[in-house]
Amino acid sequence: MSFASRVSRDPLFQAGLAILLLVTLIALAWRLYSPWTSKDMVGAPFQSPSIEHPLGTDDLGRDVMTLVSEGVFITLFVGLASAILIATIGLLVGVTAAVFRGLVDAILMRIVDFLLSIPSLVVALILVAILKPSIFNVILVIAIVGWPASARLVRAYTLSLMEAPYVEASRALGSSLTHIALRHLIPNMTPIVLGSILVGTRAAILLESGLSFLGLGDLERVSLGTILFYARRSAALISGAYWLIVFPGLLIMLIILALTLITLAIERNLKVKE
Amino acid sequence: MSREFAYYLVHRFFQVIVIVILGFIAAFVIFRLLPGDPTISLLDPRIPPEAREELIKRFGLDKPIYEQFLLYVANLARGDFGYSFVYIGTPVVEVIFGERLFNTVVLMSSAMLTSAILGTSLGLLMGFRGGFPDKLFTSTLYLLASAPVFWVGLLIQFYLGYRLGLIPIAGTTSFYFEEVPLHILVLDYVHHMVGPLIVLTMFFTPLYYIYVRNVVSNVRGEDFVLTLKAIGLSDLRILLRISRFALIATVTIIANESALLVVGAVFTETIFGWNGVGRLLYDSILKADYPVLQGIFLLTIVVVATANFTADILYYFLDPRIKVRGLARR
Amino acid sequence: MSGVKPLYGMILGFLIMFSIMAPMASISQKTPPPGLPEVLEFEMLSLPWFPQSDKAAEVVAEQLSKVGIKVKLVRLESAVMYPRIMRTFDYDSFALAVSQTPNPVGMLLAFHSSEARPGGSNYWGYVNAEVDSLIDKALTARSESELKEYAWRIQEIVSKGPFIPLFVSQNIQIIRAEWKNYTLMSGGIIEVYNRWSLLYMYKSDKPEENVFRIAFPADILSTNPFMATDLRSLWVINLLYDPLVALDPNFKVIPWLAERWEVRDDGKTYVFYLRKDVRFHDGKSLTADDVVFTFKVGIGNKTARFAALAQFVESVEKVDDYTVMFKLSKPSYLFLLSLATNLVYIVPRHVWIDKPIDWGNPEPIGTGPFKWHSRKPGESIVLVRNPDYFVKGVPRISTIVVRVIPEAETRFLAIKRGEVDMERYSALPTLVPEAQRDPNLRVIVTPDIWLVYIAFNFRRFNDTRLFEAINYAINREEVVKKAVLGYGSPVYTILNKEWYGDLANRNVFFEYNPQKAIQILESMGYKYDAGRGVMVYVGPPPTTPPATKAPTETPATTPATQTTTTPVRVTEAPNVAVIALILVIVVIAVIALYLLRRR
Repeated sequence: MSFASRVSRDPLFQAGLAILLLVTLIALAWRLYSPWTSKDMVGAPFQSPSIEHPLGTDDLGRDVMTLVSEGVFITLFVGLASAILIATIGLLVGVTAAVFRGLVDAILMRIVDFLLSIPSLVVALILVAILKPSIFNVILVIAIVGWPASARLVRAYTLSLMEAPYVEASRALGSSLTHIALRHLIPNMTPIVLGSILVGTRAAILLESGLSFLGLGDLERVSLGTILFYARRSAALISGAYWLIVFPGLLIMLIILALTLITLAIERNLKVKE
Repeated sequence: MSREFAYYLVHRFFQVIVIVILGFIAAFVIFRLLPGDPTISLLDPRIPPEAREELIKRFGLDKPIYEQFLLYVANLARGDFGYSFVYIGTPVVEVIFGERLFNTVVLMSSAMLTSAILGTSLGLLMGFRGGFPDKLFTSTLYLLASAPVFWVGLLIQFYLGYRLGLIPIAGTTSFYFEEVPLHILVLDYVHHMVGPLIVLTMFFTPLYYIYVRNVVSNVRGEDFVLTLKAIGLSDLRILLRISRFALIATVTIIANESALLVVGAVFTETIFGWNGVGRLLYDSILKADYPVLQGIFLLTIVVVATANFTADILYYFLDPRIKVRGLARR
Repeated sequence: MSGVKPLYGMILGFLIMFSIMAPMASISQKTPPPGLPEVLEFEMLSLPWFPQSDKAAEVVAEQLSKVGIKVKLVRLESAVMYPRIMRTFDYDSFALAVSQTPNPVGMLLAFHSSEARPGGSNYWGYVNAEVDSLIDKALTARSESELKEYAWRIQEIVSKGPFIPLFVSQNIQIIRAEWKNYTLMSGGIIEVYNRWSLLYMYKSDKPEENVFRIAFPADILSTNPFMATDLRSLWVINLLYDPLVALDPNFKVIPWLAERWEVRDDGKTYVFYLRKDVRFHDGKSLTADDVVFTFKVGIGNKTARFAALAQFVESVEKVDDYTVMFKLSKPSYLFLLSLATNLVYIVPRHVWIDKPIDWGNPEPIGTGPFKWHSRKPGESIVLVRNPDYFVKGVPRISTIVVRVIPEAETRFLAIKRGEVDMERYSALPTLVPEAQRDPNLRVIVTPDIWLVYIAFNFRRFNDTRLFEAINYAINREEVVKKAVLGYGSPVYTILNKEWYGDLANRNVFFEYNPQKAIQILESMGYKYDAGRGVMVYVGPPPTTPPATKAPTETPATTPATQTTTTPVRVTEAPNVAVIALILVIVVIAVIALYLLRRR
């Protein structure tokens, strides 16, 4: 069985995908249905959930459901975009290390090891503070702190690919390493790249929500973390507006859970030798 | 101590030194060369330009970049991390070390210890036992691991601290000037630590649990365990044998998370008003206190390097399979 | 090879997205005269940490969008934003709050062209020769009525300028109910201009129980009375040191360390007679030497709070041990008031004589009602009662504990739980209902020190008609209702009656009238572009000469303005693009997995 069919039959993967699809579809449906944007102040501040406003309103009288449905997309976008960046860097570094082995591998992997044990939040906070928050800087920063994990995964996978018969045959025939990398390795990377993107998305979303919660993300974009930042700024929990804190937080948790499940499914079907 | 081990130690030690040097250079690059003028936020922008020039000169920021680098190296060699931009006249070392570092180390070490013990023992047990309880615990802890830590912190502070009144809302102590016996002071400190500790334990425990559980449940199926069973060893003795693997997993995670010991938990410390390095980091970012940020960054690098080095030595003793070859990590 | 196709799909998806993001066609637009933008689209810098002005900015942005002015909020930290506003002038507009004092000098000078320099207080770069000369005259006014005459005239002119005041917020203090005997003043019960509350407040007849705990949002930055500029540090310094003259609850200047003063030489000389019973915390008596030293050092080093005095003072001399003489360069009604409101504190000469001006002052020694006890950086400061204070019988508080609690929500919870008694600044308006329900808490509402405003960069946009239109397009009542839940009063001019009483010009007023705003903008040559949802410059108004236009075209313009007002809500283009982009990625990812599975 191929990797993809194994993953797609894994119940964990199916459950994760179902949660993710459910969340995005509800959010999409609300965006199509609702007449408001996230900037419209449509009612009195701090209205509790009702039929008109299923998740109530915030401190400026904006519909929280609208904010959240937009936030889900922004959060996922930041997560996916940075994960794609992470996977790209990871692919390059990982394949390089695995193909050339020797000193290159040793140096790259020592750096990766080291970067992995520096708390990513600290580096991300410092970099965001210097680069100034905008959505693209946030993506860039997440990619900077996220690539080592991906590189390690890709390297391990590449090493197992290198042992495949056709690669060994090609090497025996005297093909250059670059040729092998381009011809045999990279094209067979799809599963690991997809896997790496999803794994990266999880970490990226957690980091993005954290940065936004602290008010260091792009505060113009309504992400789930940003909603929490503004809710906290207006003391929503104590003012009785629990819906402003509870629902966005729950949504982050759901999305992370879905991605965790998918990650698990991928990890246990990849069978990468460490 | 064999010659092989000595060679291994020296080899690793040099690697650590190189990494630290690279980290220090990286710090210089990050704080001086990246876009964004470090002097722009220097002090109140309303102060007259002449006074600014004076300050820039005093911080050595008017010199060419290579001279600044030499100055930076020389200062670091003397243990001088510079002066805070915000707390005018206070050396960075004084800002970071002392009370703040103490609070952070106490909080983080208790949190990591609690969750390491909790996570490792639970993981060991569940991984070994399997079945329904294993499934239940594992899925619960996955759920827990998915909850963003700042969100959990908010809810715990609100419900445990405010609604139920079980823990203090914020701070590290209730005594600021009173003369109190030491044991009451300590008890009060611990009481203030309960909230952050719960949040952090909820954050760390799944890490240990999941990793240890997976290692153990993998080992369970391996030949030598089956052999042990066949010989007729009791479950408890087999568990003790397996716990070595669990310990390796635990050491790996502790080594990986060790930097948090000094950097602290930014979210938790901020929410609970815990006066630690994590909160200092956040405050310094808001106030663009670059020297303090740089100090925290350098401290992190040193701690990470030391922890990795220590972990390498521990591996050597814990896992006979791993010799000079390198280490297995996540 | 397997899995290559979905990657191509992804690339294709990206290409489609970029073509969608390409700008749409718009109506023909012309280059406007200098000082006016081509498109009425402004970046507005805002501080996310200051909810009052940040939320006000958000409401204003929504209101302005209804007349076709697009405001894009850019939220920045103060460390990034302040230099852009105050030094490099790299901004279109910004929303902030300026702290009010009982002294109009600060607000007036902020419109003087000499302050339109890096580090000056005229951040918006307003330049007007008439206003300059009026301010100069106001500064040397000899009486309140003379000052009022100039101040009113200045306000009339400046109200058409780039500085657009929105409201003065109200100070909401939530305090534990057991505290009694505080004094209400503008700025709240414990603002630095209010020396009274903390002297007379108490909760118990037993002195040792009168421990007052206050929560600060951040640590103080300095205990140096010369260098401190933030209101947190000054609050602490204010308790440790005394000024020469102080303010009574009605903001009238009263004697303090100086028990009386004389004005000589037609206002050019002030002679202050010091109290003889004042001692510093280390036991040494206060003498004229300390006063002369303080002013010489403060003015000589051009420190921020002495700078405003420096423009009046020519020299400070000791007459005898308890008499000090100030010679003024220009006699002014405002000198004495400035002495009281500029928070200049007398430091002991014997401590400071060999210290640099920016000395850390780790254990401050002053004459104030409280003495320094201890400090844990980042966590707490403790002050204790000065038993030898020259005002007998006070303070009644035995100990003040300043605690640093960074989060507003946490501060309120700490007050509710009784861990602290009140907080330094105004509480969030959203907390008031919860506080009112609690019998252990009192809610005290007074005018606050913050004037929330928006300002435009006069260096970039100098046509005052633009600002007039914006003034009419802002519904200040609604801003107050939404940004501070009604805890504030709308303000239309730079001086407000809460702080400056009769100096505030009550004739300056802009009613909320978006139609009028649109008319002004259209008369300037702007036209609403429905495609972009914003006004663009299309050249001077209709070909018909303006003289004949006014009577005949009145009915014709009304429907035109109506059409421009209705379609104002256009979803922001980049938002749509981002969401579409995500959709594409998600769909492609799903398809990719599906394809892979078939194999």
